[in-house]
Amino acid sequence: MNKKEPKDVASQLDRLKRNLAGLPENSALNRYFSWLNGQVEHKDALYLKDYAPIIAKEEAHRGEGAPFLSVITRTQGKRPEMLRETLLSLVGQTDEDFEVLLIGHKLDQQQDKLVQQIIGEQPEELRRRIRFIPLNHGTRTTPLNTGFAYAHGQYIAVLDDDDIVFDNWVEEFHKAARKNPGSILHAYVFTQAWNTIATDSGQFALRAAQAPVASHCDKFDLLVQTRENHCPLLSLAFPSFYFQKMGIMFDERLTTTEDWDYFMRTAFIAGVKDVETPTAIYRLWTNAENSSTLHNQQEWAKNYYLIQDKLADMPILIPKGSRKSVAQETMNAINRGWPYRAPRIHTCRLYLGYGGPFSEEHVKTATALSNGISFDAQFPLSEGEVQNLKQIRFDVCDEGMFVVQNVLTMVRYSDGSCDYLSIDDCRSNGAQIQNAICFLNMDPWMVWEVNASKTVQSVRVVGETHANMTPALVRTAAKFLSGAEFQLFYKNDEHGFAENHSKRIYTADGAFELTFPVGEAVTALRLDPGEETGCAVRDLKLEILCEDGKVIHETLSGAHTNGVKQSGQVAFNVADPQLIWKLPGQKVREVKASGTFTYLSDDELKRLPIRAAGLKESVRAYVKKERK
Amino acid sequence: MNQNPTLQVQSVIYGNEPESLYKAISNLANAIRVEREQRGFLGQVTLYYGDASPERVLSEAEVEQIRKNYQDLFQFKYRVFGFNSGSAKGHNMLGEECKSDYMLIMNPDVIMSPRTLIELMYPFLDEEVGMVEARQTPIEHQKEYDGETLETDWATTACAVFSKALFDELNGFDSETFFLYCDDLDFSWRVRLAGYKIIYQPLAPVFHAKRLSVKASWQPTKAEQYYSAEAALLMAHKWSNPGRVEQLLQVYQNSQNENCEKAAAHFIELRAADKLPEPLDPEHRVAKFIGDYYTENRYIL
Repeated sequence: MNKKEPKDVASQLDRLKRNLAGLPENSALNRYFSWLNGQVEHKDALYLKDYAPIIAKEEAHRGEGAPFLSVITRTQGKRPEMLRETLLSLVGQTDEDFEVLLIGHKLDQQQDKLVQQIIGEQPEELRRRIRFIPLNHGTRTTPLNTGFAYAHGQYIAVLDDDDIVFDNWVEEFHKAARKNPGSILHAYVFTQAWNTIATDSGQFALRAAQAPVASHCDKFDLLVQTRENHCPLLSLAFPSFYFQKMGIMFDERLTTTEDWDYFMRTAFIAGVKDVETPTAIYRLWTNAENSSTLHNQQEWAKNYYLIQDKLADMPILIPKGSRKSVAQETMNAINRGWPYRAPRIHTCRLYLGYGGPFSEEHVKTATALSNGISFDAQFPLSEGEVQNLKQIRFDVCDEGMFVVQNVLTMVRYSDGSCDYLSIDDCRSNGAQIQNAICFLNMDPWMVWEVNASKTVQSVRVVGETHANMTPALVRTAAKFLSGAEFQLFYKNDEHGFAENHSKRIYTADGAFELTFPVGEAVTALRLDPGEETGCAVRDLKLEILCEDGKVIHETLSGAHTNGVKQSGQVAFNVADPQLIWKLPGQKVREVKASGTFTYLSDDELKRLPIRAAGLKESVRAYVKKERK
Repeated sequence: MNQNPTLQVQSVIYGNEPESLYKAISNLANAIRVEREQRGFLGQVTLYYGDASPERVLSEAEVEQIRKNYQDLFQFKYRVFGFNSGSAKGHNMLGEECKSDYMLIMNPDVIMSPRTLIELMYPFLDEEVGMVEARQTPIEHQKEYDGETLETDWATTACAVFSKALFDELNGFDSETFFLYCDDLDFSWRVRLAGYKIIYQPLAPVFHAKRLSVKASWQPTKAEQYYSAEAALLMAHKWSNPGRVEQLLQVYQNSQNENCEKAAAHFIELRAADKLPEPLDPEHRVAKFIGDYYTENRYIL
């Protein structure tokens, strides 16, 4: 490049116009220009309605005389001591060229009063730089868009009301912005575990639980970042241009990871400059409300896939040097045997359950879109298939010895609604370890209940697999699978034994002590120690705690069963083992079950008498008694 | 306790940037304002700076301006020592002149939060409390404290308060022994030997601008290395742990660290000249030596 050519944007655009005259319309470059124009010209309707007017109104305060940095702090007034400390860390800044936009989100009267008190407590040098903006609608993402719209600063950073910064946070951003105007700035951040402790005054004091960890002290890597977020929001400062002029806003459909989504969409255009200095502490609260406690795993997974779909639709500019590191990393992974050892999952199967066992008569297949790591299987269903549909069973493949994780099952109904189901909602023949299931055996399956009162239209299952079966993982899974999932059903005059009136708890083999919450009037309890034949329960005691304080004790001798009663134990040589007790019908708060569970050896199993009638006989007798 | 006890806030300054002093002063003023508005417990507050710098940090005109600006909130005093007193002696010199009921020892660059003075004084409602320490942020001190009673084994004087009466009873800080480090630890243990409790007040955060390396570790200066090594030896001797003394001497002498070697040599000189302090607490009722630390820690930084 001729070093004497000016590099300002206007000159570059002029030169491009001259140099690219005749560029084919279908070239990647022209398609990129077209996409870029689309971003600016077709702004989101919500942006135009809610935020463009604010941006226009505040325009007079921008430019010369405006602060370098706008700091956006969202608060719901629920964490006053944390907010006080966040503001204290701003008082301590070496560079005071900033304003604070304190967005009070959905504050009730008391919370508003408290936040106003906290603002009033601040020293005048900070107080005059705080703009309080009350906001009474929207999701947790709406305050971010609101703050970005109101911001006067050249750059915008977000500091939530439970994080703290070092004295050089603003200073380092400012230094970097002078050298790299227009880039998103990414500083290093520590994480640290904290907890809250109750005090006599009713306030919650804050206490560091562990040393700070240099967990986010790495340079930004665009391609890695498209898969996982490594940059907490307080590590970033965004030029206001991309929100206020280009209309790139936070996606308010996202209830978590909205920051990651916004960062990626802006980073593709702005580029990122690293500030290789730690400037903040991202606090992980071990016992206080935070986004990981407020949002369950399926919500995280749903948002994750929404973002992945969006990123997949965007062209990206790969920074100089990135391709080499990605190629190297891929080679390293291949040399470690990953992903080439991931199971073949080209064809997945979806079994449809109507209340009885799953069968080959009601199964659909789909060719999963797969890159060897993640899969995406879609099953549209016909009218005939969805009548009385109660359960679905997803077989990702036929093999064993692999792990499936980050699974999201989307069940769409004809009324337009959708259930987002995760691993936590399913039963499987694998071992669930945190947010993954480890399948040791062949024919892996996962079963979900669907909403039987609605008509299913389609099912889509997405997730990831890997075959990195370390010995420790295999041992953990094997130990898990040596037990059984106990299920306690409870019936009364309004309903019989049914899946939606039951609770499941897994236990390993050996001694167990399980507590099942109930919360209903109960005329009979049914305890299923797993689903398989060849097991036994010994010395079982039930402690049934009633709402009126009464405690009912039951043992194996009082149970009706499809197993074989022997001295002190019940052994099962039939599938679907069951134990049933009748109860007077009062409201039961919870049931505690203790005893020992084991699997029988082949010899022990062979020696058991065959009970041809099984439970049916016992139930008939029981029902006969009840009707009398 | 007096109905409206008076307070002397004191700092020993040494080459500090004036801007950081102004910031500390304005936030002290704010904390006094908030205390008056929300509690009104404290009486007259005095801010006393002892300047141990080779050249004074604040000019007479600047001192006079501060006095005027804040005369409604606190009385401002400024004394030029004329020599490098170190922390312990400097605070003793300021404390000897103190006519207030309470003394708050503070690093000159510490920034109080608005409610610091309110929260630091509450624990003194318990007459057994001798000393109350503020919580430093963003890097909290690692030492353990009881989550219910808030009791702790010792208090740093980055920001801590105790009564003038107790200061006099204990003859202040041991400036004969300690120059810069462990003067607060030694003082704390003597507070406890005298039968008082030390409280760590997590509701009183103060901003103390410290930074960590990219690997989340401290980066001590050479002076800090020397003085903390010296203080470790003196603490071990004064608090009746001769085994620890010998262990440290061996480590320092073989450390190939110039500052540690110097500290060891100096200690040996003092010992030879019989200039070491008289040991205390032979039964270790209060003194605790856990590895390189003087209390349990929640984590190690």
